[in-house]
Amino acid sequence: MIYHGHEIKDSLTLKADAVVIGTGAGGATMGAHLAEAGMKVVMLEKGGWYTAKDFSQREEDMAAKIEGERALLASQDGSMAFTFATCVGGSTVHYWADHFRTPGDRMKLWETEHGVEGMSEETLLPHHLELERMLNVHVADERHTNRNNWLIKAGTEAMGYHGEFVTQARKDCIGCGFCMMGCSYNRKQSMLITYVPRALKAGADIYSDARVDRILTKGGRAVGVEGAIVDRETKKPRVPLRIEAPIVVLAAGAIASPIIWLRSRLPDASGWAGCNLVVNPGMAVYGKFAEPVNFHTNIPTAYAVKGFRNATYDGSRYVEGGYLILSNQLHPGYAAALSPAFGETVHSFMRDFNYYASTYSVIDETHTGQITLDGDEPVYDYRVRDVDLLKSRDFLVKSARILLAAGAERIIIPDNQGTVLRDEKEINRFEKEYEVRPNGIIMAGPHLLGTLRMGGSPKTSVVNSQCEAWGTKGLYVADGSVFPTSISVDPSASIMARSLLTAGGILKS
Amino acid sequence: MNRTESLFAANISRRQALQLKAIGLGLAGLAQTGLVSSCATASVAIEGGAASLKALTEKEYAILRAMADVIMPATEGIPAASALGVLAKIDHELSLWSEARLSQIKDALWAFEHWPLFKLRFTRFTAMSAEDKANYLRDWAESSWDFQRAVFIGIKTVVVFFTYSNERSWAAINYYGPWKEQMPVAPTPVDFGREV
Repeated sequence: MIYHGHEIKDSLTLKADAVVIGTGAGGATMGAHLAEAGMKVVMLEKGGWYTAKDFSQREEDMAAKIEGERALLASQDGSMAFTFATCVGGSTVHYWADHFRTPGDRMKLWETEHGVEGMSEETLLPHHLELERMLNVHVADERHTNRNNWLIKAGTEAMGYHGEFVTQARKDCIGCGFCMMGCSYNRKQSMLITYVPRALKAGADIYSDARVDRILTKGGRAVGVEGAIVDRETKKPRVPLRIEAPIVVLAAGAIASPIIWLRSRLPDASGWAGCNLVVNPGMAVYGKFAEPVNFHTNIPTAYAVKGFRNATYDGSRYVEGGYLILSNQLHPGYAAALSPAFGETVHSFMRDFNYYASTYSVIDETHTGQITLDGDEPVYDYRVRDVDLLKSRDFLVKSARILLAAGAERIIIPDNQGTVLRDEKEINRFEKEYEVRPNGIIMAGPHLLGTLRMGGSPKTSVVNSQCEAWGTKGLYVADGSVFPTSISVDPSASIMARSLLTAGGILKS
Repeated sequence: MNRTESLFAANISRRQALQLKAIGLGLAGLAQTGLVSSCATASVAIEGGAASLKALTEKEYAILRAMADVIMPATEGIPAASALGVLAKIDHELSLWSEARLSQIKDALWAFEHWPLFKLRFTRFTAMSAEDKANYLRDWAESSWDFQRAVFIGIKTVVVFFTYSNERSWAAINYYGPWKEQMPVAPTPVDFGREV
């Protein structure tokens, strides 16, 4: 049963076999599997309960309803905006539904460098197969490839780069292009319409507007959680909640999970709780075309440039790569937010809104950030630096070349000074001279990972290879927090698959 | 893939906050000399009246309004940010922030307004001519000091977002708006069971 938390008037005290904090990619898959195995499961979601009828396709309205911190959270130096959703279904409600299996090279890295055991292409395969069946994952077809994607494909091929059509988690998609604001038609296969209903059907209870402040422990074991039912808009506490359960699953996302962990003062011999914040910095590049492109229609990333996913080095010298280039999709509010300079420059840029093809980066960063507490207030430290600035510039350069090769009249870099590139000569000069500066170009981190990382030793990791806390029995983490490094692709499928693997371990134990 | 962009990236680091406090003390000293008294921010008309402000003071509102109208001036088919209700929306968003985060933004607005004093210009941003305001904002946007760029990009991002997410701006850019209001398509049914 689903309970609209904001309508609960009295304090809430419950007992369950397992309490799952969060209902996104990790929490929903976990909750469904535990409930289907016969456990009494309570799932808590800090955000609201919204369904297709609530998704208005209006940016302001949806930022307030489904975005984490109403889309207003950034690193303390202002240079990195953090993007995640806070609602039943979590970030899968606003994601673009591109579906990537966990790259094998990353799992090898986590095994060799971090001592992660039991997580390989072989052990994840059955879970990826379940997900691909459940979420109707398929390669984007021509009908769902908009002109933006075709242009990027043409430019990529003209440059001799490697790109591919991207697998999608959709069913009977009508191609409206409003994916980022929640699917109004239940065609995008988010957790909201897949694993959340599965969990409910299996008997799980879901409470929206339910914020967890602290994980309760006794004798080195997790015994439950306490927090509050909150006001849906202000998030201020209305009535207290307390759930007692011998299994606690922390799946609130890589921003909220470490905060709950730190506020709970849970044991962590490694000192890594809250550290290692990965975001996969994102930036946009635009190419202005003579004919309309309408990059805001149809599915966002039907096609992606994958040839630069891993960075290459000559000895210790960075050469190129270390990012994915995705086809971008924005509606006017967010396009303006990612526009160059200010004033008439922005207005002029926006008058050509329908004429842009655009790319977006997933930078596979080397340097990470951290989340700490100053009293009770979270402090978010993240800044793109060193080699990651070089990767960012290389992304801008490669994108400019792709768009120019596809026929763009000019390339717009949405930086503070309003850089415009018109030909290969200008791109070459840009490649040599341009300096990417934090707060000089807007960057957003959409893939939040790493803040409660798993590993083979309690000295260097927060949870073990089964994602159980080294210092607290019965406490599991099932979200992006557990990944030791960037995954280098959209992490949604990896989070889901890892959560299913962890669920299997919990049920066995 | 989620790619929504956070709107307001103007959080300020603790080090920067300390720098601002130091600036504040310096300006307080100047005020003792009487040099700053003529540089006080003038109040402006507030949509809904001063009592409608939820987070900002009247003076902070005046600074933000002046910034917003340089960032998003009126253009063909689109009124200036202040005439689009952008300020009230930002004030509302700020009212939902913690005291600590809110105080950082207030410090940033205050620094932006009074920074000219440190270049020995006995004026303030809100008192500048339109041309000077644009040049001053450009200086911050392209500054070598990270804090100034952070203030620019944070305020700019949220002002332009609320300008162009407003449907009054859409006709000027030939944006058709929500599909569901024009071409209703039924959502695929989903069984959520019982809701309470």
